[in-house]
Amino acid sequence: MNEKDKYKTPQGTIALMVIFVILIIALWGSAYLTMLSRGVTQ
Amino acid sequence: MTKRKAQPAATTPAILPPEHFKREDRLTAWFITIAMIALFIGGALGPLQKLEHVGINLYPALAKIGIGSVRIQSYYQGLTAHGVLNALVWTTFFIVGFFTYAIPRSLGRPLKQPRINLLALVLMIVGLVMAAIPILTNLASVLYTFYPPMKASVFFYLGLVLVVVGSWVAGLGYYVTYWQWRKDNPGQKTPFIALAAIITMVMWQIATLGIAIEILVLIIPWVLGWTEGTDPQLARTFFWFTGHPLVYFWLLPAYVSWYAMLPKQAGGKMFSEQLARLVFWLFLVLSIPVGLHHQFVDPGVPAGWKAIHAVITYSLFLPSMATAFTVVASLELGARARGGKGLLGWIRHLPWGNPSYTAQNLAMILFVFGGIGGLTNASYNLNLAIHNTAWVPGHFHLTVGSAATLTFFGIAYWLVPALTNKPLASRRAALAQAWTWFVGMLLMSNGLHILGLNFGVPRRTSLGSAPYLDPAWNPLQIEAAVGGIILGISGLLFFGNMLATALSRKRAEVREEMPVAEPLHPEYQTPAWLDNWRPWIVATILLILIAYGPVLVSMIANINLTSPGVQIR
Repeated sequence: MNEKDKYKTPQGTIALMVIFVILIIALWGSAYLTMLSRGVTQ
Repeated sequence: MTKRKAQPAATTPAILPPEHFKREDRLTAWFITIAMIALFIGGALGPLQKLEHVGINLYPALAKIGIGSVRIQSYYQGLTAHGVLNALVWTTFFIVGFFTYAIPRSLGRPLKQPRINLLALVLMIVGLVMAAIPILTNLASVLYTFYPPMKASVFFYLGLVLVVVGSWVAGLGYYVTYWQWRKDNPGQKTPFIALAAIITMVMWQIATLGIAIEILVLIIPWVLGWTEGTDPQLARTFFWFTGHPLVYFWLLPAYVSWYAMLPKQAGGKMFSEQLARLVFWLFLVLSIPVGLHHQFVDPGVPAGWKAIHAVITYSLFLPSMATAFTVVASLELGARARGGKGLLGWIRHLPWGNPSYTAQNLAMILFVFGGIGGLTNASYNLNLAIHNTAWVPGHFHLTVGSAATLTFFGIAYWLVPALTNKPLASRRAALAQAWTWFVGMLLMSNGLHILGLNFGVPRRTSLGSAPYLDPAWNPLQIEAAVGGIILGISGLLFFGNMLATALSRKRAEVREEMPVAEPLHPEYQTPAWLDNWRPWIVATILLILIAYGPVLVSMIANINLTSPGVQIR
């Protein structure tokens, strides 16, 4: 591994983390909306 | 403990040759062999539950097979055996075996007092037999959470206590070795694998005080008739004192491998050793005082304390995300070193042909969904919707059944060849095993999650005989059953491969060794506070006292030993 690569920002990892955060929001939000649609809170 | 200055992170020392670790290797072989036998029996019972849910009840046929009263006679007995053998026995024995192998190698010395660890093995085996006999004779069908007022044979509880005490004794064996290492290496920073593994054991020892008090003070006197009843609310609170950190006891050994071994297998380095150390310390502090988020629906727990535990549970998001970032960055480094290019194109350059690597990477992907489900469980109002539904087993099969178990399979793919000095019998079968586990788990957990969230289908219930069974559940029940069968086939592939490796006459051309990733920046100094136990232990105890002290004092002051108990057959 050369020095240039060694200190490179792990851009792919950052991209995957962004996808992860979007997934969290989407799946948690979907579960929340399902709960509301079932009338669980009423 | 003397105050020490920051030390530059030395490059990873070469591991001593295997001749130095013969006793450790024998102990490890015992631990992981027993772990695998437990998983084989417990795992075989898993698909039967899913088949029962779709109307294929194999329990009457199974009841005809057995010796004397040792036989599986009912859904609940089978479910208890499945939960105890998989979630408690497979995990605990494998973790202790893995650490018995990894800690001495990481410290570069054999165990100081191997007899302590031998005693641990004996205690754990005796405990396992004591607990297994009542389960297999239908005298302990109380599921793996053994909530009072369900009552089992006293030997079931005594057996569990011995398994836990055995794991404490194993921890003692590591501590003695570690103390000696520190004495001999003043001012040196602890090698990462040893530090992370020992932090895990310390967390486990503090956490299991809850279950020890529950069993010894509330359950055994009640089962023996010394008290007229027990207090289910208090017992549940002590159970969950241990129950949630139990999840981290499963996960942290997987993290040890993901942080410090997997990057080596991928051709990379640890992206940040300092951050990895911080993460383990944070898990020590934060993973215990969170149990009340399992008791959101318990009426005897004040809402304010539930909220405090919910906040601490959410704080675990920080070390979890740090883990996700650091581990993936380490793998990206490896993939780029192997020629990977582009924003995500490097993923193809990861060593997907290596079953040990593939199993662990797939475990991480499944854990993404397990983590998101965990955030849902910790959200108070969502928890009310999914509590005690099929969502919950859907969730924890992604944690203990995937993040931990599939990672342990990946570890076994190098550890068993290392112990036996034989090559893995079939790399192809191992790869097929990892992928089938991944697909089976996706199907099963997806089905279970939706059944729980959308339909409120109850968990751990003999649904095949439930009068309220709804035809609308069928497609998801079938999906979960298909997933369960694929997992069963995958399990057989694993056991077949392990057995074939152990029985093979081939010798390895080059002996497999524990993979140890070097830090990317060995020149960076590790701050002394990341290698100093005192502040972290103090913080752990303080946080437990703050989060659990008042609620436990109140519950104990108002104890109601009035529940007489019920035996499930």
